Amino acid sequence: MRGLAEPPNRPHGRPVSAILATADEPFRNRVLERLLAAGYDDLEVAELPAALADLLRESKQTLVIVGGTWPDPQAFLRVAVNAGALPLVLLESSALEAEGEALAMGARAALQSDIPASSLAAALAAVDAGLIVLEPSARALLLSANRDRFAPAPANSVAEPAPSRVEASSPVEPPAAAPTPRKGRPLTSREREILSLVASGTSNKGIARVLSVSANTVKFHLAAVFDKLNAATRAEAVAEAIRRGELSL
Amino acid sequence: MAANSLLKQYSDERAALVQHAMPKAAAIIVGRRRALSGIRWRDDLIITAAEAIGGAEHVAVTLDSGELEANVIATDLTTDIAILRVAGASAGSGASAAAGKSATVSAGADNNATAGSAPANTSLAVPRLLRVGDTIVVVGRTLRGPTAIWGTVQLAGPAWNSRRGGKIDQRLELDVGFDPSFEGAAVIDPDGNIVAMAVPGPYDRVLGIPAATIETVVAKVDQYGHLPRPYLGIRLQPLWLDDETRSKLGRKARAIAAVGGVDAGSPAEQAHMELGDLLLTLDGHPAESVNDMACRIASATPGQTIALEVLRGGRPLTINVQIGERPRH
Repeated sequence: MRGLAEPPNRPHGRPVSAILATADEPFRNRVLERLLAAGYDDLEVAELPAALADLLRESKQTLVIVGGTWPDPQAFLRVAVNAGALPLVLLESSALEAEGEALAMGARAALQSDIPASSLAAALAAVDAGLIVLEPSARALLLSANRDRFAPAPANSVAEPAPSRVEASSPVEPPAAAPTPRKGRPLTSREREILSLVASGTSNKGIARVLSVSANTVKFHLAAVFDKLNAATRAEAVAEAIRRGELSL
Repeated sequence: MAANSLLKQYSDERAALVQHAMPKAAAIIVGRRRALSGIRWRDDLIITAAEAIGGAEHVAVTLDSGELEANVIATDLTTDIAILRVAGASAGSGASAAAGKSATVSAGADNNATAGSAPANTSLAVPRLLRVGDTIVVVGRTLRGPTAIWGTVQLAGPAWNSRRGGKIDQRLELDVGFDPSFEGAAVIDPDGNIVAMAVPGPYDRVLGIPAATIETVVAKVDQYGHLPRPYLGIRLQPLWLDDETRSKLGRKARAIAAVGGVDAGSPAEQAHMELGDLLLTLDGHPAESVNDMACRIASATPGQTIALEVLRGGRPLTINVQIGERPRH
């Protein structure tokens, strides 16, 4: 009920969750802030490699974000790779060598830690879908004569494709630039319809049944609604939509 | 160390109170990992925090007695109360055992004969309003077992309306070392009564949603089988008034709520409300703002008729509207 009186800090409703594994507190806080802004409320934090190993044993969660100043993230990265997780490395500096090393160790993404929240969210989604995400500058890694130097290490130390996940046929560039900001834009009639069902207390699956669409489609629409209304929870979205004259009383 | 030291007695009593509350403490798992606490309100019903439930339909519940599945049967975003029904339990079973009358809050009954002895029973009755300074314990559960934190009632105010339009019987702010696993946990008074549900509030405050408020929502669900949402079918937008217009209309508030749309087939349409109507009063009370209107309508009951005084074409007009129920399908 954080949102009952004031705008809350705890977002809701994104399908993808992740583990943030780092001992570096300022780094952790910066990334957490960004992830929360992008709607990731379902985050675990592991401060020690052993804690990460425990978390990965306990949960089915496979997205792991490691980072800080290279080579600090290496221990976390090794744990994540060994557990068959999908690690993303966020680097403090733009050293190409570090990116290459991270990828050689089995990272699914090697990105600068200051990328915008929306790009980070897109990268998480892409890695979750089985893709590999690189900085545009890392294209050199693939094309340059240095290719051998950064060739994948022997199979036993490299992430095998996580079972049951789609492996991309080739590395890709990060998804296209962040979508245009949606904050403040009016809701579509479909979004309004969905929000009205949220206001009546209907679950996502219930809304999917009423509208004959998939639950993922409902989540997708709700993500857009939350974004437009700058809301983090269902309660906040409903209240804000009423305030803006988008939702009827 | 004396075998019967005061410190040991103190510790024993505290632990005994938590032990008594433990059968009521539930762990709720939403989706893959989100874990929070809940209260076993009745044999068939579990109460938890609506915001943490999100759009889920089913959750896994762990109690002292083991694990079970529960269906989310109501999420009240206005009070942050979610009601879960244990899978397999039929609607209304255990209703006779509900706190019902005993959940009425009676102020002033501060004298307490049982103080000092271990509580006989963890009941849902609320014998008195909490006072500022009262000692409470929040009893929750994680997958690793039951959890308890002791604290103090930091603020005990009068009834209030949440910004979401919820009518909440008492403003309770708790000074406890809260973490997210306690969201939805039972707040227990020294008599062993469940007095509230603990939820995170703004500015890192911990709020208590009083048992009386929970019982009101539970009673509605018992009566209707679901939680009916009051609905008029008008969209409102604020218009800012200049001083001249304000004094002409005799209004204090700077804004006035204007009807920006009327839903087809809604109670408002049936009552011939129109686009552009300016809301002056609701049941004789000045309609201060869009938010104020939202709160008043949210706390009305479907079936109830309200009188709306509107300004249409510069003339005041009173419209009676029977509040309906927000469409669910």
